[in-house]
Amino acid sequence: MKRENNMSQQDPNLDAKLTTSAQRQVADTVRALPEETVSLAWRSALNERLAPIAAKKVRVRRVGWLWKPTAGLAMAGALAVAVMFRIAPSPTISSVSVSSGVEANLVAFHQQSEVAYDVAGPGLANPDAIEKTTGKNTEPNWTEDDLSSL
Amino acid sequence: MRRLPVLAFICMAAMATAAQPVSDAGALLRHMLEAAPKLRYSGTRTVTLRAGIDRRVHTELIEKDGARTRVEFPKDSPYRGQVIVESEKERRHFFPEHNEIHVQPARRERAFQRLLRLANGKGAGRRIQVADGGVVAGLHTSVLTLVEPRGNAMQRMWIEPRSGMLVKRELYDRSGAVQGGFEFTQVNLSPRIDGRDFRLDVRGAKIVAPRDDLHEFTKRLNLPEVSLPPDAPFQLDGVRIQKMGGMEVLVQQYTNDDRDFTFFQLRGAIDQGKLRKQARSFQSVTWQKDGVSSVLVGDLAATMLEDLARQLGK
Repeated sequence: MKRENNMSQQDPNLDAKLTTSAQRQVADTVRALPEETVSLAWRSALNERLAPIAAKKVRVRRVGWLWKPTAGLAMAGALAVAVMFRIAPSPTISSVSVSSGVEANLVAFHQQSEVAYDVAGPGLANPDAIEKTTGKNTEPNWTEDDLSSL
Repeated sequence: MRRLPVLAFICMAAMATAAQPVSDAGALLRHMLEAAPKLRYSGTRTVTLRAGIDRRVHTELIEKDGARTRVEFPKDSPYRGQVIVESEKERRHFFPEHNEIHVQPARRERAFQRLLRLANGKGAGRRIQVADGGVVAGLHTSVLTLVEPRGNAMQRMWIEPRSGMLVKRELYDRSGAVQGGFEFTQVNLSPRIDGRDFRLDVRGAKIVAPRDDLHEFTKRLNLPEVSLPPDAPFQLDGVRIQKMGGMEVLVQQYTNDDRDFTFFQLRGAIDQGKLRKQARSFQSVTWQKDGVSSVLVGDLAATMLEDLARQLGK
C-alpha cells in the first residue's frame, strides 16, 4: 500500500492511463481467451510419475525414524568416548606394559638397576646376583610399581 | 653436696638435648654426606631389593674404613664365599664358583651424588622433613624423609646424628611400596680394622673387566661389539644378557660419579613411541641398523643422550 501510494504520488496520472481505450482493449482480449481445463489423462500421467517419488519419500521418512536416532546415539557415544579418554588418567602402567612388551621391560630394567645400585652402594646389587652367582637369566616379571619413578 | 642437684639437672638437660632430633633437615643431610667418606665401622645389614613382583633379601657383613669397604656374606647366604672390596678407584668382586674377580668402577659415590641431586631439587617442590627415627641397630636415630611435590615420601634415611652414619634407608615407589632398602642390625663404630682386609688378590683367579664380558656376550648373541671408548666420561660398569619380552637383550650399563645410562642391543623392532610413553621420567633414544635395535635409556639431558647415541653408532 505504501508502495502504491508512493507510485501514485510519483505519477498522479497513472489511474487515468489505466482507463484508456487501449488498456481496456487489451483487458477485453485477455478476458475473451478460452479457459483450458486439465485433461484427466494428463492428470493420471502426472500422478503415475509422482507416485514412486512420494513412495520413496515415505520410505526415507520411515527409515529416518531408525537411522536418525541411531546416528545421533553413535555421535553422542563417540563424543562421550572422546571426552572420557581426554579426562581419564593415563592408562595404568601394568596394562601398558603388557601391550608394550619389550619397551616396558627396557625402561623397568634401567629403573630397577638405578634403585638397586643406590640401595646397595658398595654392596651386592641385583644385577651381580643374577649374572654370576646362579647363572640364571630369568624373564623379569615387571609390574606397574617397577615403572614408577622415585 | 649442694652442687649435686644442679649438676644432675645440667646432665639431664644435656641428655634430653642429645635425644632431640636435629631440627634442621638440611644440616643433618649435609652432615651425613660429609661424614660418609670418613666413617669407620663394621656391621651387619639386611638389604632388600625388588625384582619385578619379587623382593630379594640378603645379608651383608660390612667393614668400612673411610673410602675403603669390604663386603662378605654369611655362611648360610646364597652368596657365601663372594667378597667385594671397593676402594676410591675401583670395585673388585670375587666369585668363588667361577674363580673370577670382576673389576668395575667404584660405586660408593654414586648413591650419595644422586641423593645430593634429589635433595638439591627442593626448589622443584621437593622437601626434606626430619623426625625422631627411634633406635636402629642399638643406635638412636633421626629420620630424614624426602617428600615429592604431591606429598608422597620418596625415601627415608635413618641417621645416627653424632657420627652421621646412615643406618637404615628405604626407597619408595609412587604407591608407597618399598622399592629397595637396607637396615643395619648390628654396628660397631670403633672397630679394629686390618688394612689388608681391603686387598683382594686370589691366586689363580681370572680378572674379568666389563669389556671382556662385552666381547663374550656380543659374540654369543651375534651382535656388533659397540661401546664407548675407555676414556669417555661414562665408564662401562657392567655387561649382561637379559631376557625381555621373549628376546635376549644385551645390556651395557654406564656410569660416571653422578649419572647412569643403560645401552640395550637386541635383534627385533623397538617402537620409539611406546618406549617414550614408558620412559616418562627418563630420556630415551632408539635406532635400528642391520636388523639390530639399539636403545639408550637414562636420566640425562636429551642432547647428551643423543650425543652418546652418535658415539655408539647411531
